[in-house]
Amino acid sequence: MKGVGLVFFPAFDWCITPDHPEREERLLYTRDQIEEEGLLDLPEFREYRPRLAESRELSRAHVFVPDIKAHVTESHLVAAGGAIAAADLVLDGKEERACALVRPPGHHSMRFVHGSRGFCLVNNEAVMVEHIRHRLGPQAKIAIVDTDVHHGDGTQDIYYNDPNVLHISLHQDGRTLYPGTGFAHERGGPGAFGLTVNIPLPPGTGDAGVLYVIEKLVLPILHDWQPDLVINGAGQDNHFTDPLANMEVTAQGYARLTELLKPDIVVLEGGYSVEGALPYVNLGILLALAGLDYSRVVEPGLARVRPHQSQAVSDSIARLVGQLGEMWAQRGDADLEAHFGFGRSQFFQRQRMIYYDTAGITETQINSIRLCASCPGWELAVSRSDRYTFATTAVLLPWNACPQCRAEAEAAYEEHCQAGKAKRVVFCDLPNDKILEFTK
Amino acid sequence: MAESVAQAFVKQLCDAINSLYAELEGQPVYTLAEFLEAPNLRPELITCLGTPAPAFGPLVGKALNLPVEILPYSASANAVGAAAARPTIGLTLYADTALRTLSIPEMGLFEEITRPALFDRRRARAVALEKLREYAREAGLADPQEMDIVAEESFNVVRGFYTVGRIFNLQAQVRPGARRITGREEQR
Repeated sequence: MKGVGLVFFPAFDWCITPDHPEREERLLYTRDQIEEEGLLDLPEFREYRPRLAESRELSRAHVFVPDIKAHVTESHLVAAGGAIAAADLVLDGKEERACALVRPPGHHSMRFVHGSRGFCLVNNEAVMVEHIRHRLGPQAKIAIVDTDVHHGDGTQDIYYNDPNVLHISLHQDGRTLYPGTGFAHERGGPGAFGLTVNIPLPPGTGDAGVLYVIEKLVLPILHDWQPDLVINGAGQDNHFTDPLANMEVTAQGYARLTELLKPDIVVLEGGYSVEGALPYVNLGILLALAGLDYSRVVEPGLARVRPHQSQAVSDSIARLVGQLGEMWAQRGDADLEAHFGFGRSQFFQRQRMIYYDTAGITETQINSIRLCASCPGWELAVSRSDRYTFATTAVLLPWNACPQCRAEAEAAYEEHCQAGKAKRVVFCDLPNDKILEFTK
Repeated sequence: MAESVAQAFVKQLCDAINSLYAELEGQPVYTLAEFLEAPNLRPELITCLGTPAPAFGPLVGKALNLPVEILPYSASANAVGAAAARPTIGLTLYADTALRTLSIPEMGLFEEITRPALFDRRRARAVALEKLREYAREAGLADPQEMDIVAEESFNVVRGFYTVGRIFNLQAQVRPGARRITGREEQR
């Protein structure tokens, strides 16, 4: 019988610092809960070991500055490898669905990595998605629904201009919470406009609000776009007991969300209420994934507090969902010339400052995307930070690149290697799964 | 006919051996140390005992491509093993310095930790071994010489944003093994 494959790796002997909220015992109470409830005795569940991700697999999603060895520990490789192992269970047809409960999390890690941001260093989901595409081929359509309370800015950054990856992030409004981004107007690059969908929810959103968003917005979008796989980045910090955020969601809400979304693969993201939320939310998610009754999963915290969503919050969510629904429906009619300069220039350029809260680094990045009518367009990015002040240049050739973009990107790589302005030039050739590197 | 029955039996045996190792290797581990230092468990030698050992041992060895050792007195080796096995016993210690409780369920023991600040990993190990000696004696084992801590975990207990204690979870065991059967016993 096919069921739910669980890749559980709590890394009890790894942490950023002993007093950090992403702590060693973060999944301890979850393990106890799974054991005590006898979940693994049910025929629907099987537990699997993670594997170590290879640095080659990480390089498909990231450019590390100065290099991979400077940042990545074995724990990151096991977390990313755990996500890959979960994906393989589904792709190999061993299990119907899979869930990777691994740490540290990853959704704040962007293409360039100068250090840790938001407790994340390696984007487990992105590394997994690249592995999946490598197996299924470039036409595979993958939807990522990020239900962590924080904006999935790292995953958004990696797939901002990718027309075969739909990134939907539900999160507490960036004006009130780290990382301060994820607004409705961030809708994707010139090659994938409309395929980044941000749903910034007001603080105080409860089960009713989150489920309303799923039913009225996320499910219709998924139905419309018809992905081959749905991945859920399941952060558990929308819970009413979470110490870092201000939402009112319960384990029942999370379980119902999972039941509605029916993700093929679930990857754990954040969630820092290690005793009050995680054991119950994880249990609810796992039961819902297996199609089992979760109605008795009640966290003890509910005896003291009754989470409540105010009418004002409900009204504001209804308005937001209405607007975002329209934006989705009309994404094809958008004036791309006004947005990106199609017809006026060859490149769309943005300049950004990116703050790494965990590592205390500020990065500046200039990113140019070739405006191409027949493919998403190759990219050139130059990145520096106050920790690594030299320039690192990356030339990115996307999946489904057209021959002209390939020729231009290859020429650009040569040119940047010879110009010698950057200390390191990296060429990510995603279609051929090849990474070239030049170091001065 | 007899040949094909024997072949089928050997195949079943080999499948069982392989799936046992696959299960052992696939067993979940929860720390990096265990994950990275997973020992190679694959066998290098097949040791056969039991009455049919001389008949089937070589066939199994050939199927698994491993050298085979047929134990002397293989027909009665099981009985000899049972007689020589050293009795063993184990217990689980759970201590929570925030709650100031220490318990050993096997012994029905619940104690208060009187000085939680001083209760560290070394102390937890010492208590587990001391209680194991007591437990073994109660169970009628001769004073055990070799005792091991076979599993150990410890975690901070955090309330709000402060560490208020530590949880220890240990398993201690009298080392199992075989004792030498003396000549006198043999004569009896």
